[in-house]
Amino acid sequence: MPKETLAELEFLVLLAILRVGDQAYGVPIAEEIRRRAGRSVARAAIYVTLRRLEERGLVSSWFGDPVAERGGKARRNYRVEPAGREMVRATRDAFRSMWEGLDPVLEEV
Amino acid sequence: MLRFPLIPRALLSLLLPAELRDEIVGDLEELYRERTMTGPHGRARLWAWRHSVAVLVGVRVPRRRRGPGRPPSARAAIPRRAGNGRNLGAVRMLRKSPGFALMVVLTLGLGLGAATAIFALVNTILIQPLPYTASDRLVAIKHAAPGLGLEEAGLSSGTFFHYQAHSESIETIAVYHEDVETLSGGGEAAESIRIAAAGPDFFRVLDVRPALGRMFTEEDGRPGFMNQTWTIPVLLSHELWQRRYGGDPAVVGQIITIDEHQREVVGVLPAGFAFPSPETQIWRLSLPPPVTANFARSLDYEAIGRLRAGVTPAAAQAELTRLLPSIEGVYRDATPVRMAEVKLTPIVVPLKDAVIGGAGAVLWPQLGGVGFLMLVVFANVATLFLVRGDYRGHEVAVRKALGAGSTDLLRLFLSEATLLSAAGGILALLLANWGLSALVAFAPVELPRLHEVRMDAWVLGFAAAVAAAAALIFALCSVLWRSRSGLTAVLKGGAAAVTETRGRRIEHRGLVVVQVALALVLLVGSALMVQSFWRLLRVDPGFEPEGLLTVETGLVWRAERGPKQAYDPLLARIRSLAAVRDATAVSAVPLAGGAYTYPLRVVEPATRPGEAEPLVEFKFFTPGYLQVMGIPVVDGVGLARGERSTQPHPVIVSAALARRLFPGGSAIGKEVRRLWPDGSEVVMRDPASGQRRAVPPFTVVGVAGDVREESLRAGPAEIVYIPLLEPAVEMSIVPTRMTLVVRTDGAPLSLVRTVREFVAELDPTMSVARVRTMDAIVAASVARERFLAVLLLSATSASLFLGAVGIWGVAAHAVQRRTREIGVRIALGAQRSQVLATMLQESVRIVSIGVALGLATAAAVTRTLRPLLFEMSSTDPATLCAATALIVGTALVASWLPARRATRVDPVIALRSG
Repeated sequence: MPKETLAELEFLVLLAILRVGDQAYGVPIAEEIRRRAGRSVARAAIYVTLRRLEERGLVSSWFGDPVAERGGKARRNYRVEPAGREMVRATRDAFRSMWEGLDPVLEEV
Repeated sequence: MLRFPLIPRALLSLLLPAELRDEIVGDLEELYRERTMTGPHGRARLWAWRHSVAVLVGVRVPRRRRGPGRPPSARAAIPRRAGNGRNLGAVRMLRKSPGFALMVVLTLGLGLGAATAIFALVNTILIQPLPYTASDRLVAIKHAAPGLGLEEAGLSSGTFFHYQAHSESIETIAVYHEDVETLSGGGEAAESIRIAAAGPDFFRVLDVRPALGRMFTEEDGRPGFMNQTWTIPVLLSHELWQRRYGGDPAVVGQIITIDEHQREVVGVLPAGFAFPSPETQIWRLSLPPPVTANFARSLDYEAIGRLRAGVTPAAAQAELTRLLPSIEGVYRDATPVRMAEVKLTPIVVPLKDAVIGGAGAVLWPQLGGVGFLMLVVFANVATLFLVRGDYRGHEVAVRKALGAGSTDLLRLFLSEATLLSAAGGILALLLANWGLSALVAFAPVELPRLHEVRMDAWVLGFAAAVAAAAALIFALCSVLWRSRSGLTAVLKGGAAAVTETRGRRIEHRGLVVVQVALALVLLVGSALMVQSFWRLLRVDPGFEPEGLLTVETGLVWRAERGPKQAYDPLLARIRSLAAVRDATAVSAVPLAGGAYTYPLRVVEPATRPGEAEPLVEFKFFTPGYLQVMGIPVVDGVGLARGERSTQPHPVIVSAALARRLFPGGSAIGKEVRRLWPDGSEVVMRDPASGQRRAVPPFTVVGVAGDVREESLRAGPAEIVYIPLLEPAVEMSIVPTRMTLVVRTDGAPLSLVRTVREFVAELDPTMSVARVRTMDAIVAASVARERFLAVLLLSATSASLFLGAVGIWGVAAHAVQRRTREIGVRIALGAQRSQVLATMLQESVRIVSIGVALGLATAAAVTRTLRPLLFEMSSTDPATLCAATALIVGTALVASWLPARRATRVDPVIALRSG
């Protein structure tokens, strides 16, 4: 087990960035989580999580060019750093190993 | 393109941490724009508000961490500096006392919300410059004509040409006048619209560019002005263009029909252009004709001007005053005798002052009122912090003992106060935003610049500044009050130890004294206004307004049919309705404005030469007017329907006019003449002989009871009532606008549709303008007073409530502190009534000081209300007594509630708990 673990929302946000790919910024990230995970997460929580992930070096961000549709504000794009990928993998593995053999239990009515 | 709502956007920029701001604002803007394209705008705005607030709360108020939490440590009790944890300590502390936090936020939000809404009104109307280029150089030019009894008159064509040619301090002068005309054609119903008749200079002064088409040019004025065959150009307001012409650009070049004349639309003015008034819909090219120019035959042109840079209005006025004498001899009536008689004096004032007019008298007291409410709010919240501080002494001492320095504590208090103030500020903005639209809807129509009022950056700045000041004050209060208590004493004694200190008690009571005093000032102010308003409503207007419907109509003047022929059939049809008792028409109903005024001369005894006759009102009426209105006939005949006079030119005068003209005698049978405004006799060509001769004088046949014509405040008006008879009593002027007055048995407004239909059937050129009940006209005439009374009253109830809460708090606190003492007293045999008296004593002392302070302040402050008070002094003893009684009563009830609890103390329990 890695020393630090990912909280659930952190995990979801990292996965969302990976799924969206090159064009990952606030709006599609939130949309991806809402669509895939079927949950509407408070927007504020996503921004705060992104900042925390960046502080921990798991993602990095950069500003693009200003966009007129955004009132002249630039998009802040995100990319998952190698450390982030490692963390996602570790979390996935941890979940997987906890998962093993539980399928029948979960399928019980 | 729809912009993101201003307030949430400003809140986001103001309150989001810098590292998140651009990203979040950008994302929200993007989503908002998407929403405006797919759904209704109102919903998108709501979405923007909801999400902005949600994001702010989410980012600013961190939740309890889920999952593995940090172990509680001593340092965690002290606010951390880093990032989102900055407010964590404060949030935790506030979460422990949600009641306190809620009270602070609600109190601050309500008080500041009211203050912000009123500030928005005052700021736009009184403080912000007019929305024109270099508007500080714009002036209104008027005259005073004391010789004619006119404190304020306009320009004549002659004085306009004179000033225009010679003034150096005024770059451009323009004259205009306002009118109501009928716009018809285009397959739409005819409508009455406000028109401004002005020349090209009018728009040059204001520096306006057209939204569509062009403005008037110098060339427009040249080709034979006053030549009726030429199509006069007009400009449309943006609103009219959108409403009646569907915003069609092809309107430029179209010919439209105004008062049955063809006019050519040459352009559309920009949206929001509202001069001379927001109701002005059409600007028609009009220039004073040089041929008929005169010195003072009619002083009815309004004038505006643009000063040269660096010239003050006072300097311009001095220059015009210097220029005026040289007009002598330039115009026929500019004779030395006439000039000495009229005593014309130019007046130049900033245009903004002219636009604002008397609005300051209504708005400044309101701002003062909410200022007082704000102070009550501050005192109240400070009390809350103080009481809370008493109970928190222990907790703070523990923090200190664990190593928190005073900087740490200050930061903690500051972030706590900031959090509360910010929440209060946001609530205030929400309330103000909502309240402002209510205010604008409720404000009297004559309040100028209402269409400009909105929540702008100034208003946001005001709310933010007050909230920030509040945060600072509360934080400092917390620190100062706390630093006095000794550490060990507090740790030993717990909460009780702090509450005993004498200094604390004085501060606490001092705050309550202030609250009582401020609440009393507000109470006196609003009591004065409410009483004035009530007295105004009880003034006998001289007629019976109940059950009267008034319908203003406009009529295109035609030589072949006079107003009598136009209105008689209409009135006959209206009278045939079952619900109608009687109906009549008059050129202007009381309190609605729009009367004709001319000088009046008594034929015998004649006025001394050189003495100008004062102006009186002339009203045209169809027989039966006095009876329909319920105005009594005090002498002679009332010219009821069917009643004929033997005199050839009969008129009725009001009692006030009869008193002045014929003191001590009867007015009946006396002869009077209407004059032109310049004092000359009315001369007409006799159709039979073709000779020009003075029109015959009127003979007074009746005296009508006094009527409040101008306002309920002003005294009874001097009126000449001229009946519309055949042959015409008054031959030289004809009323074009008449108001139908219908006395009904049921609800007056239920007849409106039928009357409109009758008008349309009988005369398609007649237009129906405002339809109001007489009751509504009376109510509108006191709208200013009501507006102020209602607003002050709401500020007062809020402050009274807060003051009561403050007193209740002090009393409850005292009772709690002295539970043990009370127990001892009761155990030793004290009567419960004695205990109650002892407990009330303290409150009485506090309230007395507050009342004394409040009365002194009220005496000084309510002087500003004087111009709005009606028949009462600002130090009306009955009002002062009643207000004091109400404050004292409220205070006693507020302190009696907890005191009563004290008397129920069970001595055994009280003694044990000590």
